[in-house]
Amino acid sequence: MEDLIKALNSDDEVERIYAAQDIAESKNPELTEFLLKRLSAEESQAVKDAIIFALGNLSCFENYPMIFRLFRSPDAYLRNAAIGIFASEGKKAVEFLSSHLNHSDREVRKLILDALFATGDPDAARAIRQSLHDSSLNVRITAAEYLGRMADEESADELLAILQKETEPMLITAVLESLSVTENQEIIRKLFSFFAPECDFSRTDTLYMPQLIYLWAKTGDSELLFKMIDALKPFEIYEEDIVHALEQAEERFTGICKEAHISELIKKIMEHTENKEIYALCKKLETRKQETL
Amino acid sequence: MSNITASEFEALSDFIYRKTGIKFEVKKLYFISKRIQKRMDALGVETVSDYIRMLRFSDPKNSEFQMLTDLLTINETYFFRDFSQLQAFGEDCLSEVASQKAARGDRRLNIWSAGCSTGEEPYTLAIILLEMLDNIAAWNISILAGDIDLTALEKAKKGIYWERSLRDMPPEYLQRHFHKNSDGSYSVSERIRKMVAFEHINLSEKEAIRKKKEFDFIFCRNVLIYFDDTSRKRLVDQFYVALNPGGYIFLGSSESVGRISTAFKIKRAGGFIVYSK
Repeated sequence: MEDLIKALNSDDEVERIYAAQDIAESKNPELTEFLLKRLSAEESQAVKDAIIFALGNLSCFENYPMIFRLFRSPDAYLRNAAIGIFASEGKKAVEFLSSHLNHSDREVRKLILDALFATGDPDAARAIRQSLHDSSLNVRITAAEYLGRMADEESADELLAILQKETEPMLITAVLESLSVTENQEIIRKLFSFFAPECDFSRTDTLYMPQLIYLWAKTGDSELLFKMIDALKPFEIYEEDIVHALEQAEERFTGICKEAHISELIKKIMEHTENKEIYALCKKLETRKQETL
Repeated sequence: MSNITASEFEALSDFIYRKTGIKFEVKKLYFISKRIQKRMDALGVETVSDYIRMLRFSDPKNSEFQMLTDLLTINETYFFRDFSQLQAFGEDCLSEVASQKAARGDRRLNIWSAGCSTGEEPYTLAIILLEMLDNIAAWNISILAGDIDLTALEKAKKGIYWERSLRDMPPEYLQRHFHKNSDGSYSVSERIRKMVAFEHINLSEKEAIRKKKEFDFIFCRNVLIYFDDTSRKRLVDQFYVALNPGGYIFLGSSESVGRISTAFKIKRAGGFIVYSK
């Protein structure tokens, strides 16, 4: 062990790379401390790289505070490396990371979320949910995005509550995106009632319309679709979103495209569109419609 | 045919990994089964378990293990494979390294073809050097070609190829560096053959690999696909150590150096991304 530590701090770059490799092979968690100490002083990118890889292959449980300090490094490589190391620790790191979500530096709190998400552990979602109420907008947006990517249905009510009180478009978009992974009709209904009370889309911010169009595909409610389209002037701007949403709806609700109104809509898009891909997709929906007749 | 079970596959794949660093995922089960069956038929062994036991306890010189490895690492290759990458090597990287070394009065050029299989790659590199390097007689050139597969190495040393291997070879190079045999095959010229030294190298043998140093170019194309993340990382770090400053590493077109190591510098050579130390 002493030889390895000595080699890790040698003046020779090659010796240090080999030491990092051999420490990784040793699987001895006692050596993680020495790797982390060396990492802070190391200038060679090749050695840093070998050390980070070694740390990812050793249990670092005893040295979480040292890894955590990398979040404040001016070197982006080291900050990202810390995320990677916590990610390789998985479930074990979730509790430690969660306990630091009240850190004074918002950049660090954002990195904690990155690390929590990277662990891939289901318990991380519970911790990330706390950050939906963080004082930093960027942290709140990140939390909303990650919860969506984790398909965390349990955070739906909290995300819906955010829509009631927040006005920042980036955050609202992130929340909408996050909720759009749901298949829960109750949540989708609540979303529509928030963005378009009593299905009145006339005052809905057009910024959110593409996401709402895609969300519609999960409802299969053609009346809702036409209420949305009525509010879109000119609706052709959204033709790509509409056609892709129709395709998704047809997958879910076979035969929906044979409904007279939708069939007319598809024909109308085909008459106007200059986009060959959209035309081909409409044609495909038309064919599918005939097959289901 | 005796089918290999999941537990037998796991035992065998662990055994191969420990000895070679090569990792076979479960999706390769069919691939492995077919090749094991070949060896079992040759040896008259009835069950897969018996074959594994034989590898473990009745193969002290590793000769059967070597036979199996040879079968498992078969890789179709051909001359001038990934032409655009070789173009970047021949037209940009080679002249850059050569002019820098010449300016220092260093007239040695060392190339390592790691995982050379049946020799198409190292001979291709020798042809490129002959065709592209100014005043080649002034250079002391060494091309080390290594592979774990002894059968492939034997074939490589003979330097005899069929048209299929030569399909991407520029015709004028074929004319200059090969002669056609009476059976329709082609032999690599003596001059090219003398430029390449073949060696049996197991890329997962740490101590042996650590002795390899001072290369200006390392080619390890379509080899890392056989390795798991840990072995791949260890090997690419070793390539970094083995390269001279300013030297270049070339992996297969589907393998990215940048995804394995951040130690190398990224450069553009012609239309190609290359990595140097």
